[in-house]
Amino acid sequence: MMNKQSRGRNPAIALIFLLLVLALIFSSFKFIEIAFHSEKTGEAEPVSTKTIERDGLSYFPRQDITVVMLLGIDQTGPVEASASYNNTGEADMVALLIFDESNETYSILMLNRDTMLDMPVLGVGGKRAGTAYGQLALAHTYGSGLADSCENIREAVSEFLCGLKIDYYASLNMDAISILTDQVGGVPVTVTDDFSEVDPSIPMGETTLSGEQALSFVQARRGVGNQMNVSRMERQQAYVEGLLEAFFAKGEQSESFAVQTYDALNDYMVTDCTATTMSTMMTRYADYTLSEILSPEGENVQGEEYMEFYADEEELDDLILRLFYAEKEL
Amino acid sequence: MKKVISCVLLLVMLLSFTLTAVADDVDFVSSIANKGAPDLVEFTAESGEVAVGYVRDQNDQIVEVITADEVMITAVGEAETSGDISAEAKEVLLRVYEELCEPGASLAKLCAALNDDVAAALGAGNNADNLVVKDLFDLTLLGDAAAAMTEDRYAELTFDISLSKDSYVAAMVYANDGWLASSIVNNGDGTVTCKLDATGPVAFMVPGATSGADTGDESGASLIFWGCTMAVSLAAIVVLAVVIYRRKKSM
Repeated sequence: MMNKQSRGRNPAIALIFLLLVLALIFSSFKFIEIAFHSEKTGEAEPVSTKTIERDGLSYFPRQDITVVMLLGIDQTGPVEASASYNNTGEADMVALLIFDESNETYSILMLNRDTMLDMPVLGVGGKRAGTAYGQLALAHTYGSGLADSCENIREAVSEFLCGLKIDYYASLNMDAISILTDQVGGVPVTVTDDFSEVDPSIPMGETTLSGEQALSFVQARRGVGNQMNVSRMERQQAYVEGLLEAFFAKGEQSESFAVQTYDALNDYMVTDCTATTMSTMMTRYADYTLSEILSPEGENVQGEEYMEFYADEEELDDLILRLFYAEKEL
Repeated sequence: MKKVISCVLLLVMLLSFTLTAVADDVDFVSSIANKGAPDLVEFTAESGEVAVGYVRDQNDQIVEVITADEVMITAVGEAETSGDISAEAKEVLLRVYEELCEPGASLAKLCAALNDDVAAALGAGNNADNLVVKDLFDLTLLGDAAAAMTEDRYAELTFDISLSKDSYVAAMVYANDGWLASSIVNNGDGTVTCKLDATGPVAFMVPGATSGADTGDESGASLIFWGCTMAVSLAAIVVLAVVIYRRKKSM
Protein backbone atom coordinates (compact mmCIF):
# COMPACT_ATOMS: atom_id res chain seq x y z
CA MET A 1 0.00 0.00 0.00
CA MET A 2 2.81 2.30 0.92
CA ASN A 3 4.50 1.52 -2.36
CA LYS A 4 1.32 2.38 -4.23
CA GLN A 5 1.09 5.77 -2.44
CA SER A 6 4.73 6.50 -3.17
CA ARG A 7 4.28 5.64 -6.79
CA GLY A 8 1.17 7.85 -6.92
CA ARG A 9 2.92 10.86 -5.29
CA ASN A 10 6.21 10.77 -7.11
CA PRO A 11 5.04 12.17 -10.46
CA ALA A 12 3.23 15.06 -8.72
CA ILE A 13 6.22 15.91 -6.57
CA ALA A 14 8.49 15.61 -9.57
CA LEU A 15 6.24 17.99 -11.50
CA ILE A 16 6.21 20.51 -8.67
CA PHE A 17 9.95 20.18 -8.33
CA LEU A 18 10.39 20.72 -12.05
CA LEU A 19 8.13 23.78 -12.03
CA LEU A 20 10.02 25.28 -9.12
CA VAL A 21 13.35 24.71 -10.86
CA LEU A 22 11.99 26.33 -14.01
CA ALA A 23 10.68 29.26 -11.98
CA LEU A 24 14.08 29.61 -10.35
CA ILE A 25 15.89 29.52 -13.67
CA PHE A 26 13.50 31.99 -15.31
CA SER A 27 13.44 34.44 -12.41
CA SER A 28 17.24 34.26 -12.13
CA PHE A 29 17.52 35.01 -15.82
CA LYS A 30 15.16 38.01 -15.56
CA PHE A 31 16.87 39.26 -12.43
CA ILE A 32 20.30 39.16 -14.02
CA GLU A 33 18.99 40.70 -17.24
CA ILE A 34 17.42 43.70 -15.46
CA ALA A 35 20.35 44.14 -13.10
CA PHE A 36 22.79 44.02 -16.00
CA HIS A 37 20.70 46.48 -18.01
CA SER A 38 20.47 48.87 -15.06
CA GLU A 39 24.21 48.73 -14.57
CA LYS A 40 24.80 49.43 -18.25
CA THR A 41 22.48 52.45 -18.22
CA GLY A 42 23.83 53.66 -14.91
CA GLU A 43 20.45 53.57 -13.22
CA ALA A 44 21.30 51.40 -10.27
CA GLU A 45 24.65 52.93 -9.54
CA PRO A 46 25.01 56.71 -9.51
CA VAL A 47 28.15 58.05 -11.13
CA SER A 48 29.23 59.53 -7.82
CA THR A 49 29.77 56.09 -6.35
CA LYS A 50 32.24 55.16 -9.07
CA THR A 51 35.96 55.44 -9.05
CA ILE A 52 37.34 57.54 -11.87
CA GLU A 53 40.73 57.60 -13.52
CA ARG A 54 42.59 60.79 -14.31
CA ASP A 55 46.21 61.18 -15.45
CA GLY A 56 47.04 57.66 -14.35
CA LEU A 57 45.59 58.13 -10.87
CA SER A 58 42.43 56.68 -9.38
CA TYR A 59 39.94 58.82 -7.52
CA PHE A 60 36.96 57.75 -5.47
CA PRO A 61 33.99 59.84 -4.36
CA ARG A 62 34.52 61.42 -0.99
CA GLN A 63 32.36 59.89 1.69
CA ASP A 64 33.23 62.55 4.25
CA ILE A 65 31.24 65.39 2.71
CA THR A 66 27.61 66.45 2.94
CA VAL A 67 26.25 68.52 0.09
CA VAL A 68 23.30 70.86 0.53
CA MET A 69 21.84 72.68 -2.46
CA LEU A 70 20.41 76.15 -1.79
CA LEU A 71 18.06 77.67 -4.35
CA GLY A 72 16.85 81.23 -4.60
CA ILE A 73 13.58 81.29 -6.49
CA ASP A 74 12.37 84.35 -8.39
CA GLN A 75 8.97 84.39 -6.72
CA THR A 76 7.32 86.55 -4.13
CA GLY A 77 4.81 85.51 -1.49
CA PRO A 78 4.53 82.15 0.22
CA VAL A 79 5.44 79.05 -1.74
CA GLU A 80 2.45 77.72 -3.64
CA ALA A 81 1.96 74.93 -6.14
CA SER A 82 1.34 76.20 -9.65
CA ALA A 83 -1.92 75.35 -11.37
CA SER A 84 0.02 73.72 -14.16
CA TYR A 85 2.66 71.15 -14.99
CA ASN A 86 5.24 73.92 -15.06
CA ASN A 87 5.78 77.14 -13.13
CA THR A 88 7.35 80.56 -13.44
CA GLY A 89 9.85 80.28 -10.62
CA GLU A 90 13.33 80.37 -12.08
CA ALA A 91 16.20 79.43 -9.81
CA ASP A 92 18.14 82.70 -9.82
CA MET A 93 20.59 81.45 -7.30
CA VAL A 94 21.97 77.93 -7.19
CA ALA A 95 24.60 77.29 -4.55
CA LEU A 96 26.04 74.15 -3.04
CA LEU A 97 27.19 74.09 0.56
CA ILE A 98 29.81 71.38 0.88
CA PHE A 99 30.53 70.35 4.44
CA ASP A 100 33.88 68.63 4.81
CA GLU A 101 33.75 66.47 7.91
CA SER A 102 37.43 65.52 7.82
CA ASN A 103 38.74 69.06 7.81
CA GLU A 104 35.76 70.60 9.62
CA THR A 105 35.37 73.25 6.95
CA TYR A 106 32.74 74.11 4.42
CA SER A 107 32.95 75.45 0.90
CA ILE A 108 30.40 77.19 -1.26
CA LEU A 109 30.06 76.43 -4.93
CA MET A 110 28.01 79.08 -6.70
CA LEU A 111 26.56 78.08 -10.05
CA ASN A 112 25.67 80.68 -12.65
CA ARG A 113 21.92 80.62 -13.26
CA ASP A 114 22.59 81.00 -17.00
CA THR A 115 24.78 77.89 -17.15
CA MET A 116 23.85 75.95 -20.29
CA LEU A 117 23.23 72.30 -19.58
CA ASP A 118 20.94 69.36 -20.21
CA MET A 119 18.06 69.14 -17.80
CA PRO A 120 15.17 66.75 -17.30
CA VAL A 121 11.78 67.95 -18.51
CA LEU A 122 8.57 67.24 -16.61
CA GLY A 123 5.45 67.09 -18.75
CA VAL A 124 1.75 66.96 -17.92
CA GLY A 125 1.06 64.93 -14.79
CA GLY A 126 4.67 65.36 -13.65
CA LYS A 127 5.83 62.64 -16.03
CA ARG A 128 9.32 62.74 -17.43
CA ALA A 129 9.31 64.04 -20.99
CA GLY A 130 12.90 63.77 -22.13
CA THR A 131 15.50 66.44 -21.64
CA ALA A 132 16.05 70.01 -22.73
CA TYR A 133 19.22 72.02 -23.20
CA GLY A 134 19.05 75.44 -21.66
CA GLN A 135 19.83 77.73 -18.75
CA LEU A 136 20.11 76.08 -15.36
CA ALA A 137 17.54 78.47 -13.88
CA LEU A 138 14.85 76.88 -16.03
CA ALA A 139 15.30 73.45 -14.47
CA HIS A 140 13.14 74.59 -11.56
CA THR A 141 10.33 75.74 -13.83
CA TYR A 142 9.39 72.18 -14.70
CA GLY A 143 6.90 70.78 -12.22
CA SER A 144 4.60 72.41 -9.71
CA GLY A 145 7.22 74.67 -8.14
CA LEU A 146 7.37 72.49 -5.04
CA ALA A 147 9.38 69.36 -4.30
CA ASP A 148 9.11 67.97 -7.84
CA SER A 149 10.73 71.11 -9.26
CA CYS A 150 13.48 71.01 -6.65
CA GLU A 151 14.10 67.35 -7.43
CA ASN A 152 14.27 68.22 -11.10
CA ILE A 153 16.93 70.88 -10.64
CA ARG A 154 18.77 68.63 -8.20
CA GLU A 155 19.00 66.03 -10.95
CA ALA A 156 20.16 68.63 -13.49
CA VAL A 157 22.89 69.90 -11.15
CA SER A 158 23.91 66.38 -10.23
CA GLU A 159 24.29 65.44 -13.90
CA PHE A 160 26.21 68.65 -14.58
CA LEU A 161 28.64 67.79 -11.79
CA CYS A 162 29.31 64.24 -12.99
CA GLY A 163 26.63 62.51 -10.94
CA LEU A 164 27.36 64.29 -7.66
CA LYS A 165 25.18 63.06 -4.80
CA ILE A 166 23.35 66.09 -3.41
CA ASP A 167 22.17 65.13 0.04
CA TYR A 168 19.62 67.86 0.69
CA TYR A 169 18.06 70.92 -0.91
CA ALA A 170 16.32 74.04 0.35
CA SER A 171 14.69 76.62 -1.92
CA LEU A 172 13.66 80.09 -0.76
CA ASN A 173 11.33 82.65 -2.31
CA MET A 174 12.33 86.32 -2.56
CA ASP A 175 10.31 87.52 0.40
CA ALA A 176 12.94 86.02 2.63
CA ILE A 177 14.86 89.31 2.51
CA SER A 178 12.18 91.46 4.11
CA ILE A 179 11.23 88.69 6.53
CA LEU A 180 14.81 88.39 7.69
CA THR A 181 15.12 92.16 8.07
CA ASP A 182 12.01 92.32 10.22
CA GLN A 183 13.06 89.20 12.09
CA VAL A 184 16.27 90.87 13.29
CA GLY A 185 14.34 94.00 14.26
CA GLY A 186 15.61 96.09 11.36
CA VAL A 187 19.02 96.50 9.78
CA PRO A 188 21.26 99.44 10.71
CA VAL A 189 22.87 101.23 7.73
CA THR A 190 24.23 104.62 6.82
CA VAL A 191 22.30 106.05 3.88
CA THR A 192 24.49 108.21 1.68
CA ASP A 193 22.23 108.46 -1.37
CA ASP A 194 18.99 110.37 -1.74
CA PHE A 195 16.06 107.96 -1.80
CA SER A 196 13.31 110.59 -1.81
CA GLU A 197 12.31 109.76 -5.38
CA VAL A 198 12.08 106.01 -4.77
CA ASP A 199 11.16 105.62 -1.13
CA PRO A 200 10.77 108.87 0.82
CA SER A 201 10.61 106.93 4.08
CA ILE A 202 14.35 106.19 3.84
CA PRO A 203 16.22 109.15 5.38
CA MET A 204 19.81 110.21 4.72
CA GLY A 205 22.37 109.30 7.40
CA GLU A 206 22.27 106.55 9.97
CA THR A 207 18.99 104.66 10.11
CA THR A 208 17.49 101.25 10.73
CA LEU A 209 15.78 99.76 7.70
CA SER A 210 12.48 97.92 7.97
CA GLY A 211 11.81 94.90 5.76
CA GLU A 212 10.04 96.95 3.11
CA GLN A 213 12.70 99.66 3.13
CA ALA A 214 15.41 97.03 2.86
CA LEU A 215 14.02 95.83 -0.44
CA SER A 216 14.13 99.36 -1.87
CA PHE A 217 17.57 99.95 -0.41
CA VAL A 218 19.18 96.94 -2.07
CA GLN A 219 17.12 96.79 -5.26
CA ALA A 220 16.58 100.36 -6.47
CA ARG A 221 19.02 102.02 -8.86
CA ARG A 222 17.06 104.37 -11.06
CA GLY A 223 16.35 107.60 -9.24
CA VAL A 224 18.85 106.90 -6.47
CA GLY A 225 22.08 108.89 -6.21
CA ASN A 226 24.21 108.61 -9.35
CA GLN A 227 22.09 105.67 -10.51
CA MET A 228 25.22 103.60 -10.99
CA ASN A 229 25.25 99.89 -10.35
CA VAL A 230 28.51 100.26 -8.44
CA SER A 231 26.77 102.51 -5.92
CA ARG A 232 23.99 100.02 -5.50
CA MET A 233 26.47 97.22 -4.89
CA GLU A 234 28.04 99.34 -2.14
CA ARG A 235 24.60 99.70 -0.56
CA GLN A 236 24.09 95.97 -0.81
CA GLN A 237 27.38 95.31 0.92
CA ALA A 238 26.45 97.74 3.69
CA TYR A 239 23.13 96.03 4.08
CA VAL A 240 24.65 92.55 4.39
CA GLU A 241 27.07 93.76 7.04
CA GLY A 242 24.24 95.43 8.94
CA LEU A 243 22.05 92.37 8.68
CA LEU A 244 24.70 90.01 9.99
CA GLU A 245 25.48 92.37 12.84
CA ALA A 246 21.81 92.54 13.79
CA PHE A 247 21.35 88.80 13.35
CA PHE A 248 24.18 87.86 15.67
CA ALA A 249 23.10 90.43 18.21
CA LYS A 250 19.67 88.81 18.26
CA GLY A 251 21.21 85.37 18.40
CA GLU A 252 23.16 86.33 21.50
CA GLN A 253 19.95 87.37 23.19
CA SER A 254 18.04 84.19 22.44
CA GLU A 255 19.22 80.64 21.76
CA SER A 256 15.99 79.88 19.95
CA PHE A 257 16.38 82.77 17.53
CA ALA A 258 17.75 80.59 14.72
CA VAL A 259 14.81 78.22 15.09
CA GLN A 260 12.39 81.14 15.15
CA THR A 261 13.93 82.49 11.97
CA TYR A 262 13.59 79.06 10.40
CA ASP A 263 9.92 79.01 11.36
CA ALA A 264 9.40 82.51 9.98
CA LEU A 265 10.84 81.43 6.65
CA ASN A 266 8.94 78.17 6.59
CA ASP A 267 6.10 79.33 4.33
CA TYR A 268 8.65 80.68 1.86
CA MET A 269 10.76 77.57 1.70
CA VAL A 270 10.68 74.08 0.16
CA THR A 271 13.13 71.54 1.54
CA ASP A 272 13.61 67.83 1.90
CA CYS A 273 15.31 68.45 5.22
CA THR A 274 13.22 67.76 8.28
CA ALA A 275 13.53 70.16 11.18
CA THR A 276 15.41 67.43 13.05
CA THR A 277 17.89 66.94 10.23
CA MET A 278 18.38 70.69 9.93
CA SER A 279 18.95 70.98 13.65
CA THR A 280 21.39 68.07 13.65
CA MET A 281 23.36 69.59 10.78
CA MET A 282 23.52 72.99 12.45
CA THR A 283 24.83 71.39 15.62
CA ARG A 284 27.34 69.21 13.79
CA TYR A 285 28.65 71.96 11.53
CA ALA A 286 28.40 74.83 14.02
CA ASP A 287 32.12 75.31 14.39
CA TYR A 288 33.11 74.60 10.81
CA THR A 289 35.01 77.40 9.10
CA LEU A 290 34.52 78.69 5.61
CA SER A 291 37.20 77.26 3.37
CA GLU A 292 36.45 78.89 0.02
CA ILE A 293 33.77 80.32 -2.21
CA LEU A 294 34.02 78.95 -5.72
CA SER A 295 32.30 79.32 -9.03
CA PRO A 296 32.98 77.41 -12.24
CA GLU A 297 34.90 79.46 -14.75
CA GLY A 298 33.51 79.91 -18.19
CA GLU A 299 32.22 82.31 -20.76
CA ASN A 300 29.20 84.59 -20.55
CA VAL A 301 27.78 85.18 -23.99
CA GLN A 302 24.70 86.83 -25.31
CA GLY A 303 22.53 84.22 -26.97
CA GLU A 304 19.89 84.96 -29.57
CA GLU A 305 17.75 86.47 -26.90
CA TYR A 306 19.16 85.81 -23.46
CA MET A 307 22.40 85.47 -21.54
CA GLU A 308 24.13 82.11 -21.71
CA PHE A 309 27.02 80.85 -19.61
CA TYR A 310 29.25 78.09 -20.89
CA ALA A 311 31.39 76.47 -18.22
CA ASP A 312 34.98 75.65 -19.09
CA GLU A 313 34.74 71.85 -19.17
CA GLU A 314 38.35 71.15 -18.30
CA GLU A 315 38.31 73.56 -15.39
CA LEU A 316 34.98 72.17 -14.25
CA ASP A 317 36.35 68.62 -14.25
CA ASP A 318 39.27 69.75 -12.12
CA LEU A 319 36.92 71.52 -9.75
CA ILE A 320 34.70 68.47 -9.40
CA LEU A 321 37.70 66.27 -8.78
CA ARG A 322 39.08 68.62 -6.15
CA LEU A 323 35.82 69.15 -4.28
CA PHE A 324 34.11 65.81 -4.49
CA TYR A 325 36.77 63.17 -5.03
CA ALA A 326 39.81 61.89 -3.14
CA GLU A 327 42.84 60.18 -4.56
CA LYS A 328 42.96 56.45 -4.09
CA GLU A 329 46.09 55.39 -2.29
CA LEU A 330 47.63 52.28 -3.81
CA MET B 1 26.62 77.84 13.89
CA LYS B 2 27.02 81.56 13.33
CA LYS B 3 29.27 80.95 10.41
CA VAL B 4 26.87 78.60 8.74
CA ILE B 5 23.91 80.90 9.31
CA SER B 6 25.84 83.89 8.05
CA CYS B 7 26.73 81.92 4.95
CA VAL B 8 23.09 81.09 4.30
CA LEU B 9 22.03 84.68 4.86
CA LEU B 10 24.72 85.89 2.53
CA LEU B 11 23.44 83.60 -0.18
CA VAL B 12 19.88 84.83 0.30
CA MET B 13 21.12 88.36 -0.13
CA LEU B 14 23.08 87.44 -3.22
CA LEU B 15 19.88 86.15 -4.74
CA SER B 16 18.06 89.42 -4.28
CA PHE B 17 20.96 91.32 -5.75
CA THR B 18 21.07 89.11 -8.78
CA LEU B 19 17.43 89.83 -9.44
CA THR B 20 17.99 93.53 -9.04
CA ALA B 21 20.71 93.53 -11.61
CA VAL B 22 18.49 91.75 -14.07
CA ALA B 23 15.60 94.09 -13.53
CA ASP B 24 17.28 97.46 -13.44
CA ASP B 25 20.29 97.58 -15.74
CA VAL B 26 19.39 99.45 -18.88
CA ASP B 27 22.01 97.75 -21.05
CA PHE B 28 21.71 94.43 -19.35
CA VAL B 29 20.86 91.46 -21.51
CA SER B 30 18.05 89.84 -19.63
CA SER B 31 18.28 86.30 -18.39
CA ILE B 32 15.85 83.72 -19.61
CA ALA B 33 12.46 83.32 -17.98
CA ASN B 34 9.91 80.56 -18.25
CA LYS B 35 7.19 81.25 -20.77
CA GLY B 36 4.84 78.43 -19.89
CA ALA B 37 4.07 77.63 -23.52
CA PRO B 38 6.13 77.24 -26.70
CA ASP B 39 7.14 80.23 -28.78
CA LEU B 40 6.03 80.60 -32.37
CA VAL B 41 8.85 80.93 -34.87
CA GLU B 42 8.66 83.96 -37.13
CA PHE B 43 9.74 83.97 -40.76
CA THR B 44 9.38 86.19 -43.79
CA ALA B 45 6.57 85.05 -46.05
CA GLU B 46 6.75 85.30 -49.83
CA SER B 47 4.60 88.38 -49.58
CA GLY B 48 7.34 90.00 -47.51
CA GLU B 49 5.29 89.98 -44.35
CA VAL B 50 6.82 88.77 -41.09
CA ALA B 51 4.65 85.75 -40.46
CA VAL B 52 4.32 82.83 -38.05
CA GLY B 53 2.39 80.49 -40.32
CA TYR B 54 -0.18 79.91 -43.01
CA VAL B 55 -3.76 78.84 -43.34
CA ARG B 56 -3.78 76.33 -46.19
CA ASP B 57 -6.57 74.61 -48.10
CA GLN B 58 -6.98 70.90 -48.88
CA ASN B 59 -4.61 71.27 -51.84
CA ASP B 60 -1.96 72.77 -49.56
CA GLN B 61 -2.38 76.15 -51.20
CA ILE B 62 -1.83 79.19 -49.03
CA VAL B 63 -5.11 80.89 -48.24
CA GLU B 64 -3.94 83.31 -45.57
CA VAL B 65 -0.66 84.39 -44.03
CA ILE B 66 -0.81 84.27 -40.24
CA THR B 67 1.00 87.06 -38.44
CA ALA B 68 2.09 87.03 -34.80
CA ASP B 69 -0.71 89.33 -33.71
CA GLU B 70 -3.28 86.94 -35.17
CA VAL B 71 -2.31 84.10 -32.86
CA MET B 72 -3.00 83.92 -29.16
CA ILE B 73 -1.27 81.19 -27.18
CA THR B 74 -2.32 80.61 -23.59
CA ALA B 75 -0.39 78.29 -21.32
CA VAL B 76 -2.26 76.16 -18.80
CA GLY B 77 -0.68 78.12 -15.97
CA GLU B 78 -1.85 81.43 -17.44
CA ALA B 79 -5.43 80.36 -18.17
CA GLU B 80 -6.85 81.59 -14.88
CA THR B 81 -5.11 84.95 -14.93
CA SER B 82 -5.07 85.80 -18.63
CA GLY B 83 -7.63 88.38 -19.58
CA ASP B 84 -7.34 87.55 -23.27
CA ILE B 85 -8.49 83.95 -23.52
CA SER B 86 -12.26 83.48 -23.85
CA ALA B 87 -14.16 81.91 -20.98
CA GLU B 88 -15.13 78.99 -23.19
CA ALA B 89 -11.57 78.33 -24.38
CA LYS B 90 -10.30 78.59 -20.81
CA GLU B 91 -12.89 76.09 -19.59
CA VAL B 92 -11.97 73.60 -22.31
CA LEU B 93 -8.22 73.99 -21.75
CA LEU B 94 -8.46 73.44 -18.01
CA ARG B 95 -10.84 70.52 -18.49
CA VAL B 96 -8.60 68.67 -20.92
CA TYR B 97 -5.62 69.41 -18.69
CA GLU B 98 -7.41 67.78 -15.77
CA GLU B 99 -8.32 64.82 -17.96
CA LEU B 100 -4.73 64.34 -19.08
CA CYS B 101 -3.52 64.55 -15.49
CA GLU B 102 -5.80 61.79 -14.27
CA PRO B 103 -3.77 58.74 -13.24
CA GLY B 104 -5.65 56.42 -15.60
CA ALA B 105 -5.57 58.78 -18.58
CA SER B 106 -4.77 56.85 -21.73
CA LEU B 107 -3.51 58.74 -24.77
CA ALA B 108 -4.05 55.55 -26.77
CA LYS B 109 -7.77 55.85 -26.06
CA LEU B 110 -8.05 59.63 -26.11
CA CYS B 111 -6.46 59.82 -29.54
CA ALA B 112 -6.44 56.34 -31.08
CA ALA B 113 -5.39 57.80 -34.41
CA LEU B 114 -1.90 58.28 -32.99
CA ASN B 115 -1.34 54.61 -32.23
CA ASP B 116 -0.27 53.41 -35.66
CA ASP B 117 2.16 56.25 -36.14
CA VAL B 118 3.69 55.65 -32.69
CA ALA B 119 4.03 51.92 -33.42
CA ALA B 120 5.70 52.70 -36.74
CA ALA B 121 8.11 55.14 -35.14
CA LEU B 122 8.87 53.46 -31.84
CA GLY B 123 8.38 49.85 -32.80
CA ALA B 124 5.63 47.26 -32.69
CA GLY B 125 3.96 46.99 -29.31
CA ASN B 126 4.15 50.72 -28.70
CA ASN B 127 1.15 53.00 -28.82
CA ALA B 128 0.26 56.51 -27.69
CA ASP B 129 0.42 55.42 -24.06
CA ASN B 130 4.18 55.33 -24.49
CA LEU B 131 4.09 59.08 -24.99
CA VAL B 132 4.14 61.88 -22.44
CA VAL B 133 2.48 65.24 -23.01
CA LYS B 134 5.38 67.69 -23.03
CA ASP B 135 3.43 70.84 -23.88
CA LEU B 136 -0.22 71.76 -23.58
CA PHE B 137 -1.66 75.16 -24.42
CA ASP B 138 -4.60 76.87 -26.06
CA LEU B 139 -4.16 78.20 -29.56
CA THR B 140 -6.67 80.75 -30.79
CA LEU B 141 -6.55 82.48 -34.15
CA LEU B 142 -7.74 86.05 -34.43
CA GLY B 143 -8.77 88.44 -37.20
CA ASP B 144 -8.39 87.41 -40.83
CA ALA B 145 -6.56 84.23 -39.87
CA ALA B 146 -9.52 83.09 -37.78
CA ALA B 147 -11.94 83.93 -40.58
CA ALA B 148 -9.84 81.99 -43.09
CA MET B 149 -9.63 78.88 -40.88
CA THR B 150 -12.70 77.03 -42.11
CA GLU B 151 -13.32 73.31 -41.53
CA ASP B 152 -11.61 72.11 -44.70
CA ARG B 153 -8.44 74.08 -44.03
CA TYR B 154 -5.53 73.77 -41.65
CA ALA B 155 -3.09 76.05 -39.91
CA GLU B 156 0.61 75.42 -40.43
CA LEU B 157 2.71 76.81 -37.63
CA THR B 158 6.27 76.36 -36.37
CA PHE B 159 6.92 76.21 -32.63
CA ASP B 160 10.11 76.29 -30.65
CA ILE B 161 9.72 73.53 -28.09
CA SER B 162 13.45 72.88 -27.42
CA LEU B 163 13.06 69.40 -28.85
CA SER B 164 16.09 67.14 -29.15
CA LYS B 165 17.34 66.71 -32.68
CA ASP B 166 16.40 63.06 -33.05
CA SER B 167 13.39 62.89 -30.78
CA TYR B 168 10.09 61.51 -31.98
CA VAL B 169 7.24 63.96 -31.50
CA ALA B 170 3.49 63.71 -31.96
CA ALA B 171 0.77 66.34 -31.82
CA MET B 172 -2.94 66.50 -31.31
CA VAL B 173 -5.54 69.23 -31.15
CA TYR B 174 -8.80 69.16 -29.23
CA ALA B 175 -11.93 69.89 -31.25
CA ASN B 176 -15.56 68.81 -31.10
CA ASP B 177 -15.10 67.07 -27.75
CA GLY B 178 -12.26 64.88 -28.92
CA TRP B 179 -8.56 64.85 -29.79
CA LEU B 180 -7.48 64.89 -33.43
CA ALA B 181 -4.04 63.65 -34.41
CA SER B 182 -2.04 66.32 -36.19
CA SER B 183 0.82 66.09 -38.62
CA ILE B 184 4.07 67.29 -37.07
CA VAL B 185 7.70 67.36 -38.16
CA ASN B 186 10.79 67.67 -35.96
CA ASN B 187 12.92 70.25 -37.75
CA GLY B 188 16.02 69.17 -35.85
CA ASP B 189 16.78 72.61 -34.45
CA GLY B 190 14.50 72.49 -31.43
CA THR B 191 11.49 73.53 -33.50
CA VAL B 192 8.57 71.58 -34.89
CA THR B 193 6.24 72.40 -37.76
CA CYS B 194 2.68 71.37 -37.14
CA LYS B 195 -0.44 71.18 -39.27
CA LEU B 196 -3.51 71.77 -37.15
CA ASP B 197 -6.96 70.96 -38.49
CA ALA B 198 -8.56 73.05 -35.78
CA THR B 199 -7.72 75.54 -33.08
CA GLY B 200 -8.13 75.01 -29.35
CA PRO B 201 -6.03 73.03 -26.89
CA VAL B 202 -2.89 71.69 -28.58
CA ALA B 203 -0.65 69.00 -27.11
CA PHE B 204 2.85 67.96 -28.12
CA MET B 205 3.97 64.53 -26.99
CA VAL B 206 7.36 62.85 -26.79
CA PRO B 207 8.33 59.29 -25.85
CA GLY B 208 8.18 58.71 -22.13
CA ALA B 209 10.49 55.72 -22.32
CA THR B 210 13.52 57.98 -22.15
CA SER B 211 12.36 59.04 -18.73
CA GLY B 212 15.17 58.09 -16.40
CA ALA B 213 13.02 58.35 -13.28
CA ASP B 214 10.19 56.24 -14.65
CA THR B 215 12.53 53.70 -16.13
CA GLY B 216 14.49 53.57 -12.94
CA ASP B 217 11.39 52.99 -10.85
CA GLU B 218 10.16 50.28 -13.17
CA SER B 219 13.55 48.60 -13.20
CA GLY B 220 13.70 48.74 -9.46
CA ALA B 221 10.23 47.24 -9.06
CA SER B 222 11.01 44.51 -11.61
CA LEU B 223 14.28 43.74 -9.91
CA ILE B 224 12.50 43.31 -6.58
CA PHE B 225 9.76 41.18 -8.14
CA TRP B 226 12.11 38.78 -9.91
CA GLY B 227 14.45 38.71 -6.94
CA CYS B 228 11.57 37.71 -4.68
CA THR B 229 10.39 35.08 -7.16
CA MET B 230 13.88 33.70 -7.32
CA ALA B 231 14.17 33.56 -3.54
CA VAL B 232 10.74 31.96 -3.06
CA SER B 233 11.46 29.34 -5.75
CA LEU B 234 14.78 28.50 -4.20
CA ALA B 235 13.27 28.27 -0.72
CA ALA B 236 10.46 26.01 -2.00
CA ILE B 237 12.96 23.72 -3.74
CA VAL B 238 15.02 23.43 -0.57
CA VAL B 239 11.93 22.71 1.55
CA LEU B 240 10.71 20.13 -0.95
CA ALA B 241 14.12 18.47 -1.10
CA VAL B 242 14.29 18.29 2.69
CA VAL B 243 10.80 16.79 2.88
CA ILE B 244 11.63 14.16 0.25
CA TYR B 245 14.91 13.36 1.92
CA ARG B 246 13.29 12.91 5.33
CA ARG B 247 10.53 10.74 3.94
CA LYS B 248 13.00 8.55 2.13
CA LYS B 249 15.07 8.32 5.25
CA SER B 250 12.08 7.38 7.40
CA MET B 251 11.10 4.72 4.87
